[in-house]
Amino acid sequence: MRKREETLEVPLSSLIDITFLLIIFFVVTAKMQTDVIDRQVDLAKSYFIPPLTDGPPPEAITINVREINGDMMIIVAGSRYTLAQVGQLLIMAKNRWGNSVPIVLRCDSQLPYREVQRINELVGKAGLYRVSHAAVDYGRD
Amino acid sequence: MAHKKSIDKIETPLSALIDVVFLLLMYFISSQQPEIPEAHVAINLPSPSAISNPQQAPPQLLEIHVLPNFQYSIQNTPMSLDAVGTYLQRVGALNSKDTTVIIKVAPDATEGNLVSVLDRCNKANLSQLNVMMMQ
Repeated sequence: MRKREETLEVPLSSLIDITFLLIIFFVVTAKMQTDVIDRQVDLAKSYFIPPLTDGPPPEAITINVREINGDMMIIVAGSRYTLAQVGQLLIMAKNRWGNSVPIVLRCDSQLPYREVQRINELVGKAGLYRVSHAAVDYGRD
Repeated sequence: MAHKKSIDKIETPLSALIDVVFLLLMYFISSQQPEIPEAHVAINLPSPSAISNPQQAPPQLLEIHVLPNFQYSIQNTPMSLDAVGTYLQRVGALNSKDTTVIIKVAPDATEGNLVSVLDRCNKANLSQLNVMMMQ
């Protein structure tokens, strides 16, 4: 008599369902637009400043400043800018949104303040006044 | 004799589909970046044309100097960062709304030194923060 061969069937449909769910999750949470923050900036630590919950307002100008071999590198919305270009950008922002447009400075923690002051001077020349310094939130003691 | 008609089964090539699906999954997992919890502290910069209201009472001023190598001083008294924090908390407990903090930063002091002081000011509920560079 022929023995009935038992075949093992792996339930693939459930596996595919879960895999598609995971893909949809990662697609939805992936950010497709250009990030305005430069993740290579080594921000200073803060322990007592309340962390942002909603992020900066959409019209905020985020200026990332990194120190590379003693030289300052300014990055805005993923592109490298010179000081003169930052000045023009700030003036354009003021003309478009008024002088209350927020400026967020994300500077390396080791950057000498005299370099930050150069950007402050540009902000002042453009007539803007809402300036914030960004730090990494390390929670409270 | 009845011949059993062989029913042609259409088989979808699932293995290739699963391969592509897993490749997509691995791509999205590897391209995920962790969120950086950020905190922003608002400051006031020196205004080129400050208009003062003579009828307003002069604010209580507290001057903090931020020097290089993690050195700080309040009203020209050298202090450590922890001592600065303690002093600011005492000031903040007495009168946080009317106290204006002027933070003068040495050109060679770092952004991290400044943020440490801004952090302590925030802990003491001092929100009127003015930052300028020492000449």
